[in-house]
Amino acid sequence: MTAVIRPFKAHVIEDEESDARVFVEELNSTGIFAPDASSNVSGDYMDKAAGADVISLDARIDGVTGPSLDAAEQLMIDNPERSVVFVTRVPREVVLESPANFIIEKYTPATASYVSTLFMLMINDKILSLLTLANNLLNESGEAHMDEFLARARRLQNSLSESSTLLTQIKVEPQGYARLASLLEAVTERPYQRTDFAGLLRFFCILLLKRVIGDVDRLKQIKGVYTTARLEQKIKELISGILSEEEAKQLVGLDQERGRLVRFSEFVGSLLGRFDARRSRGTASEKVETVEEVEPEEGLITAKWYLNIWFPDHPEDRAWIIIGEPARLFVNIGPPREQRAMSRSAGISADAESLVYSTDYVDVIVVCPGADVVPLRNRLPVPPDPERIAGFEITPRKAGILELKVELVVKNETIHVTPYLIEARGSQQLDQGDSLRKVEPE
Amino acid sequence: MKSVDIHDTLTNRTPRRIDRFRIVLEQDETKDPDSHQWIRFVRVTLSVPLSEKYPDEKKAKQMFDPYDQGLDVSYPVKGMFLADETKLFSKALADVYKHPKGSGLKNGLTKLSMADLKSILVPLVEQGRDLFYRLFINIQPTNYSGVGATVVSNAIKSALSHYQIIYIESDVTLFPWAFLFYDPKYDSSKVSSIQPKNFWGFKHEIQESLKGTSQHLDVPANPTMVAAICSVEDQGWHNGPDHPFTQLENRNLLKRTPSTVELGKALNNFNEDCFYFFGHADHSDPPIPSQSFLQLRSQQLTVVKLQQDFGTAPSFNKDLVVALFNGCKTAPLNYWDERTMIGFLCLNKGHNRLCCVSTVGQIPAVFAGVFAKHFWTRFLVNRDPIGWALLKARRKMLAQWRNPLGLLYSLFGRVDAQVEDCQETDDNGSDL
Repeated sequence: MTAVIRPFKAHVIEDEESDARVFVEELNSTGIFAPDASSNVSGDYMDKAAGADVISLDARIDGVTGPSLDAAEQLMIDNPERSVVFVTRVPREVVLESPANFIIEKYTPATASYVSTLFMLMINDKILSLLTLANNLLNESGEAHMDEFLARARRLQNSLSESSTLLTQIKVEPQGYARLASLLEAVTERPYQRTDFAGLLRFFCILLLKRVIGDVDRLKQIKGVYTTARLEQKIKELISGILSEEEAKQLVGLDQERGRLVRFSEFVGSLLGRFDARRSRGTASEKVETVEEVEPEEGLITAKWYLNIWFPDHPEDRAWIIIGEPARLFVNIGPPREQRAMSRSAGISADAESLVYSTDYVDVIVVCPGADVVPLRNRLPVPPDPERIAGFEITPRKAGILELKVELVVKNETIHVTPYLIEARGSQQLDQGDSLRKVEPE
Repeated sequence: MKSVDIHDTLTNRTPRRIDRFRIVLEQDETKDPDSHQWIRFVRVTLSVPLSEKYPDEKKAKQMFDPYDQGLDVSYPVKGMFLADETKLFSKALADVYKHPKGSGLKNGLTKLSMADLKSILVPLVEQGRDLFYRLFINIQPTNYSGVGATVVSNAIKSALSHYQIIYIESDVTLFPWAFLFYDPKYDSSKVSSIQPKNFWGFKHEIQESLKGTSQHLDVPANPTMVAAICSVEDQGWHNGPDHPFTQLENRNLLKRTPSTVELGKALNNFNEDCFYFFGHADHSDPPIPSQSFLQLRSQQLTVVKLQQDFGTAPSFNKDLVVALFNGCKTAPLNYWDERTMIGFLCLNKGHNRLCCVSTVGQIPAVFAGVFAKHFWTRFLVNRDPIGWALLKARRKMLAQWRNPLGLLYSLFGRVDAQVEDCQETDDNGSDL
């Protein structure tokens, strides 16, 4: 049974009765959802979820995750505008395989404000879906795509415009969503020449991309909300698809996440200036004001030392490693390195730094399920010397996203961890030359 | 990598510089070359500090560790699911309570005969020994072979036969590591051969890597405390001139919160260095926030109530708050999240402030009261590191009462958290 979060429709699929009871209570308290009594999925997902804008899907059905993963995949294929959010006690079970963008962990603050969390994730999914379509449009063009894009943008804009009651009920700050509706209106309602549309679309995409990156970052701050490997990959693809290489480089700041946001807003500002100078009609100069500055997180930007991780043998445009082939991984402690496709710099906290200085060396250990790592340990000097590099070889055993962790260890106790997701692909895919970027994971 | 005697270290009151026996466990999978099926396994990676005092370790050190870095070993353990192992331990523990002589453990504190103690421990010993052998004895290191593998294996056995500080990183958190058992002389056909001191919890300090716990180690020389002691449950176990709380109270360092309202308010703006809870506590299994609670004077403070009635709780103002949650059950095995009170206090706005000892099974009130006195005396008066204080309190209860329930207390935090030395921080020389 599908419930309505006016003007959106939601559907809840819960496997565990006790959990269902808790969610039903939560949903009732908002007066928005009609709780789904027959939520335990044993029958046909598709019929039950037909027409829903967002589906809250228990990741574990009858003790396994397979059926939920398959169902989510199918639900999203059937309707790319549809948002599927996994709700689970054990996010790590599906974080790598999930076709959905977000996971909510049960019984955390994310589920304490279940409806508003679900709403925010749904809107984010819809923007991502719109951006993916726009990205296709920019790269492939085509009238049909353009019409579909405009139709989808209009639908989302209309729904958001009708959401004021909902937003009040679920205590979500309405301003940001009103701005989003205005932005969508600017694109969909403004008279335009088809020849000029590509420029406007790209400008629009950059603003949306900015919003998505900022929103995803904020959503990650909600305890119990997890982003999936698929989402991280999707955002990377959107950045590389919508922006030129030079523009994309401008996104890279001191810190991979925070720095990117700070530099991004500067970048958008300069781009807007260029766009304003070129545009023949008054389009969206007022939209410059909608670009929010995101302040860097103090601890990260001011970190004295960074743990740098990089694959020295990989060209910039290759963002994966090959199954069965050792890939060299370098680690050092020093100032942040320039960010590339296969690198990461993460600030070392003051607490961890003080622990590092309690000894005259620090061990580096790389943990990577799904791959063999040699050696098991390397050692770096204290005080840190950026010239000293700890080298490892990572040999993946299977395709897919691998969850690599680089740990700093003092007296065999971990004091800092930098996680890093990396994709492993089959070797036969290497022979396909320039089309590499389009090869799907094995 | 120097081996330092723990007793010397404690006497000298210097920070402990001992290398941990590091254990990393990862669930992984690999393709079987014959069947092409994916096989799940646990990858175990050990970093073993070697001491020349022990022949097998000395030999490994000479062969493989010339630069004193310790021994790194990695190997797969097939057919293992740690979550399932936890269930087996829970069942073994239930069998202990069901034993005809086990009711004494559940209901009070009467000194058992050594024969009875050994008899009721059989299920736990068997389970603990079985897992120990699968994880650490029947192994084939991937980075050593032939004679080298044998030398390495012997060194691991030797290192785990004597005191270590064990540091564990695992996908499966809150595993009952204290119940692992290793004694090469144990003969499963002879109950009398059981030596209870060979449970890990009586032999080693154990630190599990957990998100949400404090990285800080120093508690001020004159620590302050909030004590939430249930007057219904307490039978005077927290009074008396030799109880550390009496000494704290005499110096106005102890603040009592006898009701759930006062406790909630204290957690809302917590300025003290230590926290103690004594009373009934429980959680459902699996835990649900509305059913995870601490109880004082028959009133329950659930996670949901704490959230709703005390909006900013928990709000710990110190970088490190050392806590003992001394309730019937304050933390379930395998669940480390905000559905339990202990998880909520650590992970929700706790900002990595707590280092705590919690109970992972049912503890009778009288045992809890006596155990707490030993623990706090060690920690506050002797100024032992918390890992050592916990180990000594467990051993004391085993020696004095032949009671093994100290194994049900687990440490969530760093073993080295410790009250600072007075001489360094307090020129007035005031001391507990």
